[in-house]
Amino acid sequence: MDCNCPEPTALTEIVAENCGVDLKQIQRIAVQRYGDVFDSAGTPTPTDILELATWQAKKISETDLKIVFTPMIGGDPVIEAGEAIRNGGGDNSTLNGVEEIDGTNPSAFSCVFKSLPSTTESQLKLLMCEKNLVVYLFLSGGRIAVVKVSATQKKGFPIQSFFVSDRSNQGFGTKDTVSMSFSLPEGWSNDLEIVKPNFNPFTDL
Amino acid sequence: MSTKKETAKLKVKGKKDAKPVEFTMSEANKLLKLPNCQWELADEKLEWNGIEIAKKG
Repeated sequence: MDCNCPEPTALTEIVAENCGVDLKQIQRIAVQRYGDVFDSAGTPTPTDILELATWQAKKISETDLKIVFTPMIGGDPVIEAGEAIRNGGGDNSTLNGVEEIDGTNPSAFSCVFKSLPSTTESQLKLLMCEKNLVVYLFLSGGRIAVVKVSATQKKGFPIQSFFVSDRSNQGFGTKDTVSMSFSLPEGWSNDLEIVKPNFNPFTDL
Repeated sequence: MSTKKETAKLKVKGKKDAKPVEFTMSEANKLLKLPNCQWELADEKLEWNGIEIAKKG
């Protein structure tokens, strides 16, 4: 956590909000190279994140703007929040034996794909060769979780350590699984915004 | 010697004030082939025959 120095003259107000925010279930992931921003007020061409036309143009792009889409997630999509990085506490390593908080670990996303064709599996694995990726989280109900840059500008969440496993097989009466995981940096959800596009991101893309 | 890449201008359907966007011919063909494509050709010299973009006439 980056803290201002010198400290503000007073504590920053925590403004009461009436609406709760829940991702619910992450059901599909869109992946893009770092650097792009959706801008509904962009010139000369607006790129409104709510419009199917914008996503279609990025889907077929042959540049860094290209977005690829995973299959529907088969199960167990979770984000485990990074825990505090602690030092000392109850011993002689810190002043008065008080525990120090030195930071926050990255958060960890993981999920499982079921019955994945090997072509899709190998295409997903190619993303492990990329260095700077962002993701858009497609949520239950056709919503999309993004980073709010401004009222008109949205972008994806930066990720690291993208990993796709080899196929796992549990034998008779089971489906093969391939797991996928990546890290989200400290503070990943600070500017989280959930948008509801004018199309179905599961069937239209 | 560099050769100029062929491009095509497309615009979003149903938006009269939308400005045409330039795509490479390869991108434009992919875009127009998408199901429920929200784009249409905005280039008077070109036409979409349902399979690929071709020059008129």
